[in-house]
Amino acid sequence: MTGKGQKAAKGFASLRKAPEFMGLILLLIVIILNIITQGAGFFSANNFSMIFSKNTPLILLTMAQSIVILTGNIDLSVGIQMSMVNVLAVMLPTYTGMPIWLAWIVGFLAAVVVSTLNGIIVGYLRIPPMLATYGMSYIIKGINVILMPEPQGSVPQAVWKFYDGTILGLPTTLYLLLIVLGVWTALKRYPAIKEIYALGGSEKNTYATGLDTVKITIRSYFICGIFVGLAGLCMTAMIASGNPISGDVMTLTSVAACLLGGVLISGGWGSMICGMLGALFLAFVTNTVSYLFIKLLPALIPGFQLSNFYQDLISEMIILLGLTLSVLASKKGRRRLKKLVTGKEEDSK
Amino acid sequence: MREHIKDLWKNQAIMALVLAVLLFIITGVFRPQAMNMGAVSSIAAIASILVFASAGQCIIIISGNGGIDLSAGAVMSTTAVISVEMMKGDASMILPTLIVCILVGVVIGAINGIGVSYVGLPALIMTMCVSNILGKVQLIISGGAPRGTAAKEMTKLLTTRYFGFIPGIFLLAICFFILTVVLIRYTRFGYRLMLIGTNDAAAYLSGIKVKQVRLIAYAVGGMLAGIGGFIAAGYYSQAQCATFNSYSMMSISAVVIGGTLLSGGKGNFTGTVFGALLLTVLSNFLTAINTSPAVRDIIMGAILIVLLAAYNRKESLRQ
Repeated sequence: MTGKGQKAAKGFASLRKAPEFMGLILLLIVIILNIITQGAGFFSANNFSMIFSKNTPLILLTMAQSIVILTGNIDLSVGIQMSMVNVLAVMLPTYTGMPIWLAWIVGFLAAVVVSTLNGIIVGYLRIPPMLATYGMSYIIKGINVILMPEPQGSVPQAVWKFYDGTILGLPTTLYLLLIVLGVWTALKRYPAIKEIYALGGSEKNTYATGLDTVKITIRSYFICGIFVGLAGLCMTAMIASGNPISGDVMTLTSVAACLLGGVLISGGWGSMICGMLGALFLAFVTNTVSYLFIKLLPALIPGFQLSNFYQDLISEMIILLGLTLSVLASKKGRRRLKKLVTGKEEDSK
Repeated sequence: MREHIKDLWKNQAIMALVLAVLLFIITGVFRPQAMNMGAVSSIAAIASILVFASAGQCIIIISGNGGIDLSAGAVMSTTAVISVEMMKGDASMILPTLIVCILVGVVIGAINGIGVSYVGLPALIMTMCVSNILGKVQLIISGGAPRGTAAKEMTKLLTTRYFGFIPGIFLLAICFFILTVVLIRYTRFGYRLMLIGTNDAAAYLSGIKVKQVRLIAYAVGGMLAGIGGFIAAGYYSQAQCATFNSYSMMSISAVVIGGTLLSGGKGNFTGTVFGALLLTVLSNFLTAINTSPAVRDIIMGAILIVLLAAYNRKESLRQ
């Protein structure tokens, strides 16, 4: 075998062990499906830029969720926090007359503060994170509705034109995602992030090593807040108006997307890239299914007409199927890894 | 005496009941006109529906391993929609409808159980996905908006106030309560449930089929939620899609307030019932003092966090 081939084989072997493997495979499958059903139309710049600009909030939100799940916690308030950023960014200029850029910064900081507060509640009070953040989501929902009783407001045209537009032929949001990914890859090496993995792996051992587990928990929620803030700003640019509760449905989608990407719900296994892959998978699934129902099937079968309900039902079922596959695969992958490390099979019940 | 108070403070079921009574009295102080037999019986009726929803939730949470049922509300909504669509006000259809509702509940619960115990999906995710799917199924069954109503006889049976203030649904809830308590505490299934909740591995080593018991727990949970939806549809006589979805989280709150550990293995249904009562009295109180829904959300959220901080804290790592 040539040196190059060996290197490639080695690279593939290490990829197979990486947590991102399953998410990557799922994403490839759904992209191939897309290409089969849509043909060349899939590659059009228009299609791409629509997929990215419509799904960037969800992708960022999933990345936020993944860093919390890595510690073994969960945040069920991310979606409504995103709406909070949206509400603040739209309503502050009308209430206080502050310039729009300042309102956006305030919205962003609010998400960071709320997330950190979540971290403090989960870390110091040791409340089960699922219910603590669920309670928090009610509080934020109330505040949102008080500030903005009904969907309203607008965003300057320049902002959403820029957000939906392209730079050098590629969608603007793609650049944003690449920057975020770059920052994550750079940060990943630092102990601050490694400690997050350690906490997810084993809380007791992390504590025994002398690390402050509470601080690490708060740190993970703090990072989560930064990403939620970004997601909120992207959503504001995307819908170009304000909606007090529309983000809430994305909370559980983000959890599902994390799992699809290969993040282990009990923590310690996965990365933010996993989250991104999972969210992209969901985005492409919705894209394929809607294309299938709106364009392809009616063209193939004359008189074919189904309500939107069926379309949503099939999307949901594909998500469940993907989740099942990814869980089965990541179980197998982890067992293989454990076998490599310890030299024996994990005893399975 | 002090020891006594400390014991009481530790008994969450009793505390939930005490808090509920206190809150009811406070409601009376704020709005004396809200204190009458009608208010008591309407609280009893609404709490009863929550009791139906929480019974299955309690069993599933006790089964441990992160067990939780986010689809309970969606199952209730689905069976409620099925009920009104099947009955269409016809009394002779009550029994067939009940059977269909039970079957639907069992099947959905079993799907949850397979996903959680055999595939190994986290319960939170599995039940959430199923809940989303059910939301769409309801829309397909009813074509967007259910038009039927429950049988008049059934509605009458459930809403009549016996002795002036005991609604029929409350009597039914008491029967249901006794059955659930017997199931959890005095049957072989109940013992096994407690054991797998406390320690999976130990249960497995003592010869219990852990996966099978957990699957049954989810199926029973789904069945109870299905019956809950049927009865709730009967009580309100109509049902919309997704009407009862909020009951998923309400029932989880009721279970937690009642002293059942989220990590499983420890819990009792009596506490859950008092938790349901406390939640109902609380929302009654917030309505009585004329708060807007937004403020009500904030207060409910804050109270949930405070109660959790008081009762359901994990133990410190140092111990």
